[in-house]
Amino acid sequence: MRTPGPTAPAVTGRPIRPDGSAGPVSWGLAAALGGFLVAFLVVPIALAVGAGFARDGRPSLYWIGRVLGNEILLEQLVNGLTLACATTLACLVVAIPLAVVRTRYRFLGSGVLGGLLLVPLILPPFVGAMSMRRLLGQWGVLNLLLERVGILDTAATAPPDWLGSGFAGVVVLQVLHLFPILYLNASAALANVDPAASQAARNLGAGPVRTFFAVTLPLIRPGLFAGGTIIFIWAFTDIGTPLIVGYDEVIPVTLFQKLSQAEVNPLTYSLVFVMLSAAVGLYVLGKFVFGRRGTTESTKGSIAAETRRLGPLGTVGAWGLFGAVIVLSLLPHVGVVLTAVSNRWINTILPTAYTWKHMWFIVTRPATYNSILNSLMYAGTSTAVDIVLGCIGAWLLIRVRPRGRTVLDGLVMLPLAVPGLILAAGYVAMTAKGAWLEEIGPLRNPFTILVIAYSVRRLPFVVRGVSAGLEQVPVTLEEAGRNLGAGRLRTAARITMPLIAANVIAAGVLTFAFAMLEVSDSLILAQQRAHYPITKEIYKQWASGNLDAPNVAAALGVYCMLLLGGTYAVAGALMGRRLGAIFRA
Amino acid sequence: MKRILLNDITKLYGSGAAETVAVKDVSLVIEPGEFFFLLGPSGCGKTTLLRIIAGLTAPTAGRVVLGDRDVTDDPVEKRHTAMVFQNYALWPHMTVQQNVEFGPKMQGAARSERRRRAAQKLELVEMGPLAARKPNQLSGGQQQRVALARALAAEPDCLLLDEPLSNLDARLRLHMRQELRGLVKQTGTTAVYVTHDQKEALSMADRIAVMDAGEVVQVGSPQEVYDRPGTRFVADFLGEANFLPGAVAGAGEGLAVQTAAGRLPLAGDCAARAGQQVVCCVRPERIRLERGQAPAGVGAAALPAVVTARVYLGELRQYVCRLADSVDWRVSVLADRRDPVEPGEAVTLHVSADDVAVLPA
Repeated sequence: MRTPGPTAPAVTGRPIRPDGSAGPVSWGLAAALGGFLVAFLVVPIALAVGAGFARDGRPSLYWIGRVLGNEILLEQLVNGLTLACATTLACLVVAIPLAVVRTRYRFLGSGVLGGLLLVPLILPPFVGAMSMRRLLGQWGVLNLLLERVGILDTAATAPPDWLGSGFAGVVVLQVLHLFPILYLNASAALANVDPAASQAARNLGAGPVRTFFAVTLPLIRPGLFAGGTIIFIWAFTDIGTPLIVGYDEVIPVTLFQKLSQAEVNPLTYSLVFVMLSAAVGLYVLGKFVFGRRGTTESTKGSIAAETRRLGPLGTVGAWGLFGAVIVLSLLPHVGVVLTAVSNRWINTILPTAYTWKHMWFIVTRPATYNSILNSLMYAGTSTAVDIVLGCIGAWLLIRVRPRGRTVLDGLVMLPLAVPGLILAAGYVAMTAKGAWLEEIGPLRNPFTILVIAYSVRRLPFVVRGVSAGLEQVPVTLEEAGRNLGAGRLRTAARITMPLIAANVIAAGVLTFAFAMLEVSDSLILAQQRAHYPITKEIYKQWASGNLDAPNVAAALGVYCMLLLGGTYAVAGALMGRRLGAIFRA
Repeated sequence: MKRILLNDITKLYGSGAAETVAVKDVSLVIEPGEFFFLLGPSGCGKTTLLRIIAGLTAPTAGRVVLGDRDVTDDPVEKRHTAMVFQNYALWPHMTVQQNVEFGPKMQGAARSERRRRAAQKLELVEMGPLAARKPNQLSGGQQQRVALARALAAEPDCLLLDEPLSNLDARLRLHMRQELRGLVKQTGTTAVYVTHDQKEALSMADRIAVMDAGEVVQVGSPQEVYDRPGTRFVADFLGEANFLPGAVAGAGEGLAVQTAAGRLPLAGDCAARAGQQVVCCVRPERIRLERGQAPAGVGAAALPAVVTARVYLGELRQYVCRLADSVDWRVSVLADRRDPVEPGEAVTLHVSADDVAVLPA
């Protein structure tokens, strides 16, 4: 039976290779991706942090001591943490009930209402902030409305300023912008919980509320944590909203002001270190307390999930819940649109005169329309970069699984825990006067560094999105292609790509939207007017002090919304048909 | 239609303490046009071996030769094999037609040629009318046929089938056995078929390689491996078997095994020599059960036993019979309407020399 063939010399000792056979191509790609992340993620952070630990060229704790001894900075740090906690908690309170209702029940219009919940994501909250003072300020629309219906008498007592010191205003704006992220995470987590788990609890005598807190909530905790961290870090390092609302007593605003100066003081970098430590420390603590995967990690449904159809009363209740949140979260948008087209809006509920001149102003002035073109260019390029890098990363992590993939995975996911503001500080340090990358720094054309910044920060989301798609494509589909004579690239183009197209397009659209709306990097890294992206131009217009500054800034915001709305619509149309074809049951 | 030659194939997974052997020193020659089966329990390495032939898994050591070409270092797409995957792996974003045309397309066939080949193979599996459908609009059996048509349309040098019937329901599986064998033999392709179902292997194969723990333990025609199993594992895995240890005595016509339950004669061509310790193996359906005490015939054994249990299996009745020395044997008898033997009754078990296989002790 053992017949050695004449043409087959016995060869032993071939190296063991994992099944995806990590050949030279895979190693090359892994090295390229790892190199990119080290160069533009690890190095800048190290530079920024390192600069805070040096005094007169020697290692020193002097600057750290200065930060920790500075009561104003410490108070700002505490304010920042309080702000982030408040925003995250409020988002949880808003998002969980919505997600529970949406996943448990069917009712007329549930699809449309669920979709409308995502609309806030198309406008950065700092743009919405511009209209919030008009809506909620002392002489704002709300107070005028209250006076109209006779609740408030502005003649007798001074009306209240609902935004207060600005803290509450920042929280409200951030929540209205960010809750959809948690809503999406919570919905996904709820959909993954085996319905049998809660049915078992009901069967053993627990009521629906008790079941939710004792069984469902612990099971969706990791999902909530994932969304919660994104929101926490976002809120903790947000500079746009506090700047516009006028709440200056938080650390990111101070950091922004210091980083915008031509010469950056080492104190600033030690501030970066303190902030990064706080962010990472809390992330790790949170991961330890909330994010641990329970022993019941695999909660794939053993039975089909049942969605109950709501009766008329329940439907009305659901409409009320969704409607209230949607109306509230769209208020800033409505305010921005009205501001953009108003000619006169003084102490009235609605503008008394309308005009197109602000909208027209934007497209006729080079400074403003250039910012739109700049943003499109930056966002477009970073989207392309991210899709290429993201697909490579996902392919390596899911399919090739080379040795050392945990390191690669950690590197790719690191931007999730590192605030954009801190990365921006790193890029400032990296491109400082005399540094080897000065040429691409903020004082020159920031195209390269902004594209890199946007790409690095969005990469984790693209890799996750594409990975999710790849995980749903059985490997045998690709193997069948190779087996029938298609090479690696042809298999990728003809079989893998069409099957994960929906994931790639979705990741691309979200990356594009993120880059269009990005604030910290945009405000810090673009210092020449000709290279301003749209967000920086909005901020500059707002801060210009001109009489119609709010109107022009709002008009820019409207263009921003139109562009993003258009992007979503195109993506929807693109995916719509193919999505249907792929996933028809 | 090419000869497949596997030379000392070994596949290790992991390294150091976690190292596991998936395939160990397997050498096989599969002749051109042969319908060859790899049979074994799950985890025995049969699918790994099939994937090594296809090039989807790289062997740790050893060579794969297709025809006169050493393809060990060739990538999957250059090997001209075609595989029918266990879950069919039909591409959900393509129609049946597009799926089947894929192989010819990759070979650079012109549009008309692709059409012709796809139409011909779809005709062969009687799926022509459903060519415009998407895979998820087909039943399991239909998907299975399309997967076969897709593989055949590539006109491969060898066809590889990985448990292609395991996802079908029992009735359809039975029906597809002969149909699949007919289709494969009709094309004349060399085919390698992986299964853990011994009935499938016995009813469809030209030859079977029985695998256990990464090694090939026996190769032969279905009848050879069934009637003359080389090891206790093969005997047990292919159907039911009764065992009885003993020592070989005598020579020629008188060759027999002396056991605690009595004397079992051996066929003259048996390789066993006097003095050897062996285990005798007898299939339950080759034993004749007779009521009461009876003498042995020429070249046969008559073992006294007591029936201890009876199971009704529809077409068969199976008796558990206790021989001397407390050895339990199972005996299968075609069920008829006559009174069955009752538990407790004394019986005689007749075994002819041709039906005794000798295994190493």
